[in-house]
Amino acid sequence: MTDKITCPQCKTENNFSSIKCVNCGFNFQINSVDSGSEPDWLALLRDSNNEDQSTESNLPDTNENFFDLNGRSDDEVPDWLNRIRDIKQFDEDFKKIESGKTEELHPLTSTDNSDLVNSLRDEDQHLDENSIDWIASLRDIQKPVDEEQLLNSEKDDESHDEEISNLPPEMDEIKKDWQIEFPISLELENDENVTPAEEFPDWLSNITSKSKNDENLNDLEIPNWLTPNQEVPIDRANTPIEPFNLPEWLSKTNFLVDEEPKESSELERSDETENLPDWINDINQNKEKKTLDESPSDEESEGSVEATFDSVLLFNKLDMSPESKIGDEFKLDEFDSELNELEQKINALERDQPEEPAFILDESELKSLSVKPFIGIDESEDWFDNIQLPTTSDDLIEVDPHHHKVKPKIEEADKHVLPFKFDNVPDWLENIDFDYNEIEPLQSMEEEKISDSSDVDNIEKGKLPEWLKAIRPIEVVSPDISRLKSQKIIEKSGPLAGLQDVLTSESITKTYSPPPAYSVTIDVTDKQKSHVRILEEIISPVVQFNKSKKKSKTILHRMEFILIPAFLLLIITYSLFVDHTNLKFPEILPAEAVRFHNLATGYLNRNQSPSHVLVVFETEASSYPEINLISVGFFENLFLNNHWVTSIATNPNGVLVSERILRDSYLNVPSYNFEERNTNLGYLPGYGIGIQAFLSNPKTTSPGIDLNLNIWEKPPLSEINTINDFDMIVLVTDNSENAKLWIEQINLLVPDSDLLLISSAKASPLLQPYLQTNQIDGMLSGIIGGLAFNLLSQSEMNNIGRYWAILQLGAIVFVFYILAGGVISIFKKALTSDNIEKNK
Amino acid sequence: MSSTILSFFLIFILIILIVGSIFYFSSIKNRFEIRKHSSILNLRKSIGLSIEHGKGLHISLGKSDLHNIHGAASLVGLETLNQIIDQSILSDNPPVTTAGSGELTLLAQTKHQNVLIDKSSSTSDFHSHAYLTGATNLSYIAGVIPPSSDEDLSTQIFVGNIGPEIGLLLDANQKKSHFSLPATDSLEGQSVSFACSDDALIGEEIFSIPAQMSNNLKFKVSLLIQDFLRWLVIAIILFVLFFKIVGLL
Amino acid sequence: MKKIILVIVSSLSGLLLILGLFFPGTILDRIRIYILDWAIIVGAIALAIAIINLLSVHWNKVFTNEKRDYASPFFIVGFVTVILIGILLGPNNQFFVDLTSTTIITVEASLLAVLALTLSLASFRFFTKKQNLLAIVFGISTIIFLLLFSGILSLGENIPLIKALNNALNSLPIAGSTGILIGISLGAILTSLRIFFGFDRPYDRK
Repeated sequence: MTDKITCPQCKTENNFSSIKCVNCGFNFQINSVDSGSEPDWLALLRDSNNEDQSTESNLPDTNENFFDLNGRSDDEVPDWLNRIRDIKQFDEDFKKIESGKTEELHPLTSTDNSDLVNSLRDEDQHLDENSIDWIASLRDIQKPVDEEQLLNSEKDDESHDEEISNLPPEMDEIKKDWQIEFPISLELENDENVTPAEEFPDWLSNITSKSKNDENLNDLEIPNWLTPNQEVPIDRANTPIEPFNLPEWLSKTNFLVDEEPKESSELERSDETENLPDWINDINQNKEKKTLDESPSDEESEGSVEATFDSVLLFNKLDMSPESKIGDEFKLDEFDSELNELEQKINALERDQPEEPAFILDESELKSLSVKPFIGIDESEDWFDNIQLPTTSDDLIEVDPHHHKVKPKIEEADKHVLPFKFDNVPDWLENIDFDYNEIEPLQSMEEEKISDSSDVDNIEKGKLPEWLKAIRPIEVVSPDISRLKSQKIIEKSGPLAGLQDVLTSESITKTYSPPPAYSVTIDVTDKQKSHVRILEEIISPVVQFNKSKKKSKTILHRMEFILIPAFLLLIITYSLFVDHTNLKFPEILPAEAVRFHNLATGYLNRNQSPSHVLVVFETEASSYPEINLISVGFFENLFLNNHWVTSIATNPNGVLVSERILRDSYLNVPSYNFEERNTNLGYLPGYGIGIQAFLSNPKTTSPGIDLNLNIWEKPPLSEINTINDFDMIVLVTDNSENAKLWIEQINLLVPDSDLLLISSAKASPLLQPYLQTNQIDGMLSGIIGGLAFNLLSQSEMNNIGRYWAILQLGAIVFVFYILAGGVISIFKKALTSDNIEKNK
Repeated sequence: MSSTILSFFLIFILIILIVGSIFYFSSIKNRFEIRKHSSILNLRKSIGLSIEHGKGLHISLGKSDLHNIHGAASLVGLETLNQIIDQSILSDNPPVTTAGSGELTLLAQTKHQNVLIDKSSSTSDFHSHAYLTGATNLSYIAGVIPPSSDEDLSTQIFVGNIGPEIGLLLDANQKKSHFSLPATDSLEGQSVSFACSDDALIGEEIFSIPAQMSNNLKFKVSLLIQDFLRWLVIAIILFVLFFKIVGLL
Repeated sequence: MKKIILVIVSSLSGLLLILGLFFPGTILDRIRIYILDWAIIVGAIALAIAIINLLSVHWNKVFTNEKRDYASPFFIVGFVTVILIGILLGPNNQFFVDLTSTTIITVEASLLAVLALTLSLASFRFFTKKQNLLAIVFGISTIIFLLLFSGILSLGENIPLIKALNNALNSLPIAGSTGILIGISLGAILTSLRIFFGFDRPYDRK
């Protein structure tokens, strides 16, 4: 076990050489044992007197404080106490023998301290006046000593011997008293051969030389156990005293500074002190003052050696040894030698001097005690507050004041002692950085220690009792390296509240922070916004989009789908059944129609022989009704004149249309040998290319519909080798684009041929340029053209007249529709604008 | 063909090449900006909405073959198909292409197949996405009416040579509130489309569709050359007219 | 490499056609004729392939659960019937011609009649949808030409003013259409030149 000092106040372990407690700052110097010969308990008593005599401590009940004592077994009772008890027992027995007062014998038990006290008090009560007188005489001898005089007891020690020498006249009286006190022994004492057991000690002679005024010493200073008139409180008397219940003067409450003594205990003590003889009080006062003045210095140690005679004597008489059974490694040789010397002196004094009380303490002295001789649970709640917590590392390093006065070699020894074996080092201790710079102050501390040690000279190292050393905190004896470099935080909450250097989880939770929230917004200044707006105006085109809304279909809108077509159909149907015999035909016919008629009838019929006419059908099947209506007169004229007709088509439907038109015309002219005189070349593919190819070489380009039949070898095509061999080319079309192809190709390849055109009303406007440029020799455009041809050829006009009338009627209806729609839209817009204005 | 015509033709081709080179390789083209047609902007908007809503898209390429003058409009339709199909091929309702010519049908199927291959999608059903609806004009229209009347349709584009029968398609679209963009080089079709549709392209505006649908430089240069030639023709007409009035010609 | 070959073939074909056109009677002309013949044949084959594809599409529409078209069976039946009769009887057979012509002419004529009704509805709603200057001009011109080509104004051609007016009005659509056609022609030329020089490759993957 390393040399550790357990702070009596906060029970933290400190180094043996430390001056002050690491935790609470308790000064070990004052409370430490001055010399090796002085027992610890006595040193503690003296320290408590020196530190604080004014503080009032509420001493709790002795029975409550003696936690450890109550738990102690009989074997744990200190020896000196046992000695006291034994002596007491012996005295009582002696009295009984002399007085035969067996009834008054108090049953003494080795563990009944209060009975011991009471028995001691009874003795005091039963003291004769003579006994009191010798005590009073002793008091007279002994002058009342104040505290100040006690502090200067060093000086008094020198004069102690002188005082003793002044005792002889009163010694006879003392002897007489002794004889009276101990009559049995008087027989022996009357014998001249009987000499007193021992000579009076010097201190006793000194006491007698003092004034008698000491009798008036404050009886309050006499401990209770010495006061004869002490009234034992009923509570205390009736309370079951447990085996190791120490009296109050032995209770740790008497040695505690912070504990507030109870009033009852104070009264008890006061009563005790009152009952004690004055000489004993005087003795006690002197001794106490002497002990209080003792300081753990070499100079003082010498004085303290003398001052501790009393205690040493008592110990010797009681065969008590100082409790400083110290296995302390740091026990100095000096103290050992002094201790031996003192022991010798004590033994000599014991022979001469009577017993002396072990502990004589006043109330003030009891209050000043800050040392706890007995380890126990501190029921006071102030221990928590008494813990002086260092805040900085420097504080920690400055904790051990004893280091200032201890030699450096001791510190070195402290360094390398670790409180733990490395096998059992806790985790938090393993993480200590031994090279941590914060431990630098150790050097400064060492320097301070060295400097302090130089400042304070000859300061003895205080001896701590074993129990104190046992409760010393580990940090006191452990090297600084074992301290954590950081985390000096004291837990303020939780189960580990108040503790220092514990692993805390708060730091983890405190260090946690929510992840940073990154904003995605872009900080745009107003100037930038204006620049962006300008740029957008420059880049983006100014386009206004009309919002398209799906309009809800009203009833009128739905009726339009039915009414308008129905009306048109009605008109057309009605006109079919109307008599158009009185229909007025146009008088001025289109010129192209006249030319067409002239060429078709005059030019073709100039010869007596029939002509070869090539009819090109560039029409869709959808245009068949109109084309049929327009061309029926022309084809009837051709059939009436027995012309050879060769038809060809550039679209697949043209073949069908050509076949249908020619057969319908044939029905009107049954004399025409249709099968012989009509040749259908079929479909001509390739549009422009095909037209060009056909015009270039018709025989090879168009073999005919029937591939098995070589129509070019049969009449009428047997006479045709080129396109120029045809007398007339008639183009029947409803498509201006395709008609253009024929016109252009024909004019390019066959410029000398005559070209007639029969077109629908849809294609005729776009073919007028060709007509005006004489690329077309004649044209029948629409129904009016057919009507004109029929009028000129004086053929039947009923059918075509009817449709011409329907055409005009239909055109008027369409015009009506357009105009009506326009008017209705205007009115709708006006109405909506009025509604908007009304709503506004 | 006479030598004069041949010479005029060669001069014409040469002028085109020179002007095209100037526009293509110089920065003059940056001075000219193609006027954005509202109908084409609405078309792009409608295509985007169709894709987002998972609605169908129908593109009709007309009935004309490629070996005549109307084939140019069909080629414009093919290029428009190429622009649209890249965006909408992987939508929930892939676009449907109809044509009135075999050549156009095969080329449209090739476009569909290529885009599907590029998107690493299954190419098994691209035949049904582009097909011939009819060999003749009205049979073509008759075949286009059913896909254009689909309920899951939201946008229809008619680019090519389509006659006045386009009115039947536009009327059906109007009843179903579909967006339709008619663009034909046929005059009758243009007049009918103008009457039946809100967004119709008239005349040579059909040739500006590729330039407005994509940022390809060749389309922009081609359009600039076309404008240049038009102004050239106008100048020649005025010049000749002037000289004719004056009596020199 | 594949792209370059395709571009060379396309450009060379166009060049030969143009040269053959400008140099008739020479070998270039013959080459041109051959190339044109091949183009016609390829177009015909492409049409045949497209028709077969059409048949397959309608066949799938009949037997698919999604977007089932109930007109597709009629198409398949009609298609098969006509092709069988045409193969068996020949395209010159009167029955075949009557059958096909009756069907085709009837259907297409009906479609055109529906178009007429549609246009009547469109004309009624025209000014409801459009209310700008162009719409007004279009409406007015429509009215005028409807009256002009219907022959109503021709009744008053004895009056010199009406005749002059007729002549003037008849020339208006020519002017407008000519301008449009010139623009379309220029666009077509440039589109063709883009393909001729390889800038545009509709046959290419990208």
